[in-house]
Amino acid sequence: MGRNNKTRYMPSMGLAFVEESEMRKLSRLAEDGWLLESFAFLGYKLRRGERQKLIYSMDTYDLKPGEREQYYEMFEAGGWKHVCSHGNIHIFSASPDTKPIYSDRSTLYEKYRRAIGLWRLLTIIFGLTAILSYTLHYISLTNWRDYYLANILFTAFTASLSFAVPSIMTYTAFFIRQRRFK
Amino acid sequence: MSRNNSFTAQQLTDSAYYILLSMLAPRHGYAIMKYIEELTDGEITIGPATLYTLIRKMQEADYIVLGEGEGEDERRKTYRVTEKGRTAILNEIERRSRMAEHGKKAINMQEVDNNGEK
Repeated sequence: MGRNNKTRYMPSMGLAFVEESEMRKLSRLAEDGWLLESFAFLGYKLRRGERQKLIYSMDTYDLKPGEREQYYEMFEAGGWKHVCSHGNIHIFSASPDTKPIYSDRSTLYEKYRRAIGLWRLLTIIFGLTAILSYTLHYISLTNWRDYYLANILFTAFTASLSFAVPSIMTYTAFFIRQRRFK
Repeated sequence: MSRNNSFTAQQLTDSAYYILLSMLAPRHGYAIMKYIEELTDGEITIGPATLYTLIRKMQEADYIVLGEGEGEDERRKTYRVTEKGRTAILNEIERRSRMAEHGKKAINMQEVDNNGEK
């Protein structure tokens, strides 16, 4: 965990898997005076600040530039302050007695349905690339006997697999979350 | 996965019901949440993410329109029901009263049956 006097890095295990526990961890760190500032590579950047009791919540929305203001305003009206965003993921903070950002199951279900979209696409793309490159690798080994091509295809297979596996895991995790609110 | 629009079935979820009620007069985000809490004596609260999600859907369904704020609140966007939204909310009030009547009727019939058995 890299740290200096003013900022600190907190690694993320992936919001699809550990959303609640990471939000709680951010709360504990805020109590110690480490406040979430922004997303960082595979984690969060925290900044030294006043010790305070805060709760954090994550929401998902693909917003067009003109929609952002209205979206954040709505949260502010409910007592939630926008902290940071990355892609379609947005994090808000509030004082501990604030009501949750979602008040019914059907809209909570849609939060995870929106989160799934991108991951389903990535799973399909990398999954198909992996299957295709492995099949061609096998054919080039057995039928074409082109070992150079076979090597290239195997590299392509491992590369696409290394993207496909985390995509499938994230997709599955969001899918399970979505199912909970069906 | 056919639950992406709760308005196609012409039946409103509880949250959508209260949100539409709050928009019978033009209101902005904070006023909507406050109004619903006051109307229901704190029994129902609507979270901002739930409100935002449903406002987008209601706009798509032409149930509500965005208007400009007035006076001090000029900057803030307000929402109000359209004719279509008004019809939907009136139908929903009717439907929900009928449902409550059905419930009372069932309870009364049950009580009559019980008394008959004694």
